[in-house]
Amino acid sequence: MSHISVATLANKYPSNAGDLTQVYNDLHLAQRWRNVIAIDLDAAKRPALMGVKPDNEEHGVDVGTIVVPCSLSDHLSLNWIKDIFRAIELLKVESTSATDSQNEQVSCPSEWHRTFIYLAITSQDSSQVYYKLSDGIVKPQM
Amino acid sequence: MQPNKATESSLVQKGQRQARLENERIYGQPLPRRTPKNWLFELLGSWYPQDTDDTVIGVLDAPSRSVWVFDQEQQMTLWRKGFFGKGNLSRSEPTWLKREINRLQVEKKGGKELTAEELTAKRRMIRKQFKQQRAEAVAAAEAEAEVSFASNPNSAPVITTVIPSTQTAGLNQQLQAILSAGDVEALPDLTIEETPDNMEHLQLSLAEAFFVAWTTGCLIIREHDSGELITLPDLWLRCQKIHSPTWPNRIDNPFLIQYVAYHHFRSLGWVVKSGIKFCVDYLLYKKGPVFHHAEFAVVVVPSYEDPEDLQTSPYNLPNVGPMSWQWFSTLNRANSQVMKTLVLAHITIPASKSISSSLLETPKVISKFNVREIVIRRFVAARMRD
Repeated sequence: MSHISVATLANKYPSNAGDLTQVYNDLHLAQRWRNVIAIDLDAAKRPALMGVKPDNEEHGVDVGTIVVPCSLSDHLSLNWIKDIFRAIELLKVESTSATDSQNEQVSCPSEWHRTFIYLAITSQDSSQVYYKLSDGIVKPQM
Repeated sequence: MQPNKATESSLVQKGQRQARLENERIYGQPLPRRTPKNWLFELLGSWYPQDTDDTVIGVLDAPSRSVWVFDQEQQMTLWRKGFFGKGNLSRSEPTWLKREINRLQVEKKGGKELTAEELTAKRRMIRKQFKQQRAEAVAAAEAEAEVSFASNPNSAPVITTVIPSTQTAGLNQQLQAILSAGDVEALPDLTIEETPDNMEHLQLSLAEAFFVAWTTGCLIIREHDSGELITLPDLWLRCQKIHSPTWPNRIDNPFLIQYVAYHHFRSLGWVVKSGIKFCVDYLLYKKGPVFHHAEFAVVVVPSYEDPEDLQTSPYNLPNVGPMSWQWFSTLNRANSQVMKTLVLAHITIPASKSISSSLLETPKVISKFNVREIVIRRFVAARMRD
């Protein structure tokens, strides 16, 4: 799968366009994630984003984190979450570079987290909350 | 020591009072307004307040179900006169450009000015470090207790480890120390090429936007693509259609439910903001977010007058029908921990048979809805006797 622009993905999934754009702007401009790219979770029929968190630098290698936008009015289920993780297992992203909508160079990270995602829930006034969803049981952090 | 502490305390109180007076001055007007210009005002001249025109231009963005305001001055008008909207790249007040300029200036040379987001980030970092230290102290105290018990099971365990509390840790003093550390140097100005474009807009929910447009007449809304003006009657229908393209003319349209609740509390003088961060629908502020944290967290509970409307409804509105005690308990616990009182706003949806389709096309239909508030507080018999 090669680079897709946020606009292209928004056109493919018009019902998720608002959430996708809102979360992209928040990650890229406000949270200052690096190399934020749009990815197509085709198996789950859902758009998503992948980027590198600002505090990732200590690991030395850029490891991508997948963020799935959804709206406050969306109805979620366990099957929905299972489909997302299944789509992530099937995900292949080419390690290429491209230019994003702000004419900045972005490149796909060669690795990304597969056992958890961030669910970005958006609301009409642009308030957003992020929830970490893990695939399976995880020990709580101290 | 005593006179110095008293002086320091009175200086702090004086500073807090000045800050409060300054906030009252900046945010004192509860709503934007437009004073009509006519012969009477011209005749009375300076005896009346100066003409005020808080007109704001917004654009309707259907995908995000919101109205956007791009002009910075107009953004501050809506924010300072009623706390309407939210900066799409900020926590509340649109401060992205200021933060970005500060960040670029810091890259050129060290800078000290912090916006609300950066101040909160520093406060959270201090709190996180304190929690880590407290967890380590608790673990050390437990280990010490184990050793003491193993060596002498017949007497009380001896623990010398001190577990810090928020009072002893002096978290506020630590924050003040970080903020005032080092000499304050003037930040270098950025050149025109270095100054970033403002990527932020003020985003209003559809309920907020309609309220401002309808009740104050200060918000003019245009189409995002064409710039064509949207009249108030068209806006009312568009808001419903955005929420439900295939079933716009139903009495239980999600926009109607949201707007009834929003209009009800705003009309009573509350500042109403989104409650998504606390798992509720709305937060109610007495004066606004800059004065005090929200006291009440509102959950909208729709109930149908006619059960047939519920059965035929395509919407699956949240919180309709019986709710479990687990849901109550979770919601109340989450909001009690952040010092908010949970309010259930029961909205009775009138029977669709009693509402004509022409009434649905005007905001007058909201008078047919009924809103009742019920406050939920956990009662602990052992603690609440006094």
